[in-house]
Amino acid sequence: MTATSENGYYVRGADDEIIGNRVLDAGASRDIANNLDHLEDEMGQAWGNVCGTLGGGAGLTYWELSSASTTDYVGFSQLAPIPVFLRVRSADITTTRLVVRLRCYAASAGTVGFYVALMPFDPSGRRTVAPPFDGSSRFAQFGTSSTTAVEALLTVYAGGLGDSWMVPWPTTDQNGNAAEVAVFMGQVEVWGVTTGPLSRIEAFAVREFVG
Amino acid sequence: MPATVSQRPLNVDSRSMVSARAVGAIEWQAVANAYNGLVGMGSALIPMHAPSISYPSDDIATVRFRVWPRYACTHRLWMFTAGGSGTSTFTDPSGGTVAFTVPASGSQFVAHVEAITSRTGAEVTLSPSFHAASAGSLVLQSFGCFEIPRAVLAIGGSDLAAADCGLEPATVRSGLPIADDYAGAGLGFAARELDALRDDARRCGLFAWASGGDFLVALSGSFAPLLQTSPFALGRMLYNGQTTAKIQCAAYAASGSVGCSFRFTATSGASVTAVCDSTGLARAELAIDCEDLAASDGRRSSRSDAVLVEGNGTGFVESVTLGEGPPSSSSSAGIASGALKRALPRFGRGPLPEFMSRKRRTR
Repeated sequence: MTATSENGYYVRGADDEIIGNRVLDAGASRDIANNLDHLEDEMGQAWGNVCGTLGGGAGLTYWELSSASTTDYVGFSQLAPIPVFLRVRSADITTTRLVVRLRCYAASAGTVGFYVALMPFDPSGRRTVAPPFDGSSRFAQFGTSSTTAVEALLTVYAGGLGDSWMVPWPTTDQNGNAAEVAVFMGQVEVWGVTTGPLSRIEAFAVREFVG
Repeated sequence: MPATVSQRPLNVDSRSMVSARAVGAIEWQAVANAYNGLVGMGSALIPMHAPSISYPSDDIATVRFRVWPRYACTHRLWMFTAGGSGTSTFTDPSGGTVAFTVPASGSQFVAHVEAITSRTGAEVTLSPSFHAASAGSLVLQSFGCFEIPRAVLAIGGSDLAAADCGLEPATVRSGLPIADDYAGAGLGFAARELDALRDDARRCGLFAWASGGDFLVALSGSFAPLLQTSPFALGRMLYNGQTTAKIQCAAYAASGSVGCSFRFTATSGASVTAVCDSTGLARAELAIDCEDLAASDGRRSSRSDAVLVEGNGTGFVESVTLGEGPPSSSSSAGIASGALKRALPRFGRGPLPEFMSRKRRTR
């Protein structure tokens, strides 16, 4: 069994004994490492889970496209973007995957299109101009002509996160004093187009999937 | 050297940990980094949702959310989009306030940081409040709360529900012995904290929703759905063969409500009913699907598990929350306590595990 000597201390494999310390075999080491890696995979958060209300007076029930009979992508009224803290898996891989669930309804048999966009976090509020759909992995698109509610699952990737995605927030250091942490933040937005009467979204959920 | 929480955690690559090869310090640096990252990475405590809340002018109202926070969090980010008119005020559970004005265009986004005055890793009720504009109104279009990631953790501690339990990376540096005997140091500390981290590194919030003011949602004399659709929910998969996860369900009936109860039913089959106590809180544990790592979207059986939320009684519903709680909230993941320990060596003094033999090198 080969031992590696580093500054007088020996890191040994199985079947050997370290003076003053116990042996840590490769199998146990692998278990610890794999467990931590798996826990990180499974910490995918539910960043937003939006459901319409039944009744409640004049409360929100669902979200309609703000204009009917339009060929331009417009935002859904009263459906705010969902901010997300984005995670990168390593220094070399700058992607994260979000699973978006939309439950949608078309008011008529006319074609309705939706797209989901992952954009850098914008603290100034909801945009009024739709981000141009560029077909990149940060956009996911689907359409429906069904007057029955349909559900779509869209996977959106955040690739090449750069400085524009970094947002500073106050936090605390190891001594309990004020500190600042810079984190990647984005927001998931839904935009729609209809060539017919008003159509709507009944549910909108965003969760992180690392896997 | 402090326990830095990296926003770009190093890949924990176990492929180099093979028999007949020494496990080097470089592997353990990645493990220490991943451990600290998991403890301090933050979470979605109250997922963004569309509350059914509208307050008339000068109304002061508090909304109670039953949540399952992580102790490592020192600051929370409250985010909401407000409609209505005039200048209103939001007060966080620690007493911090922010005033905001809804413009003529109709909506204003607010992001407010709360400096937590009473940290906890146990189930708790958070009560943010709003004071609607004295000459205007307030409509909440979206609402949510995130636990902000930490930059640095305090070293040591033994209970993730009561201390940072940071692991000092310098203690796994090349040239040092494999330490075990003191908190916050060495891979022995990481190994001992694995079980606790399994319970702490969870999906704190899966769904949240609230109603209030002019938009309070009424309960009827028999169980009826509160929402137009069932919210999507998916738990963690923590060990081989697991197909379900246990989540915590909570609901508050508004003050003055009588004889209320809530029922939570998963698409996957489980159902549980909880009766409100004297404070209006109803609590229950429900089994839902856990993640399927073989599926590209994590869904089990190619369908989204969802939780139908129904209310019953005389009164109104104030809030509903679903989430993975700490062990004190009943089992958060249903994993056997020994499952993760089975292959871990026992460090420090004491007998060696059976699979390890004590051999002396012959010279």
